[in-house]
Amino acid sequence: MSTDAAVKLLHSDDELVARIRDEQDRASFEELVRRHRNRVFALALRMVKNEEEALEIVQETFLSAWRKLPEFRGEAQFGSWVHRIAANFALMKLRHQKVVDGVEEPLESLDGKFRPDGHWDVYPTGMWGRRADDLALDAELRNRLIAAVEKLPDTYRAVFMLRDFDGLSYDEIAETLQTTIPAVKSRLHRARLALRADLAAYFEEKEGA
Amino acid sequence: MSHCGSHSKVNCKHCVDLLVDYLEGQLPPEQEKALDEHFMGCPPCLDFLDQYRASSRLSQRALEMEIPAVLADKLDEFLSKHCK
Repeated sequence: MSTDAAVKLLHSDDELVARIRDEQDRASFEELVRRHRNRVFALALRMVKNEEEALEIVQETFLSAWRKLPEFRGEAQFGSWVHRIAANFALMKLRHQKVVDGVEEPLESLDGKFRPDGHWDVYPTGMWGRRADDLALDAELRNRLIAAVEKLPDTYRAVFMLRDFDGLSYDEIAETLQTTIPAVKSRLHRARLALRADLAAYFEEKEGA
Repeated sequence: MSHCGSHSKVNCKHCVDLLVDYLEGQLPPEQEKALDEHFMGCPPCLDFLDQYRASSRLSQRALEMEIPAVLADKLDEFLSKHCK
């Protein structure tokens, strides 16, 4: 590693952004790309479910960031900003493929699991929730989780990825997806409910096997 | 048959409906207290809460990945060519 590259490791994202803005410093930009490319790629891949298309999104995202950096004034974190750009590119690509047609697909509903008085009718069995942090994430469970995320309708998947994977604020997500904060929260909740239902089925199969 | 022994002001469905705000501490204090009391007296809701939280955390772990080396090289090549 060159001295210049080693020095870059010591700088915050904000400092690197300032160097790019003020000096058009390519090495600082390369360091920012290196820091954020894995998570941007993960977001893109789960949205479009195809490595080549995900790469195109990552390329366009960082190229767009490079071009727009002179206007970037640090109201947001650099990481949040590039994730929002990537989410927009991914949704545009999905719309082009006519995968997003404006009609939300139905998601797992809990409506039938409560009695009219609002108490459980179907008991949510299983202790797996308590030991989740200690669970080894083997290939089978990892693949099941990824499949569950990829099964979510596009707009729910986008909200889940931006909030639970990338940690964006509700404001940022609502602005990115051009919707309201209550709509973002509602989609996030339903996405989590669907993932819980999928995982509950997985653990029932495992424990019943 | 319900296993809910809670006598709080909210029922199980209310608790589930409010989980997003509850987990982020965004409920009004009185409502948050009502949910706390409900969870203490309702094992099914407590199990559900654990599962709901676990589903998000396990998914986050499963989604972590590195961009494959061959794609990282293509990305570098693309940016070298286009970022002028």
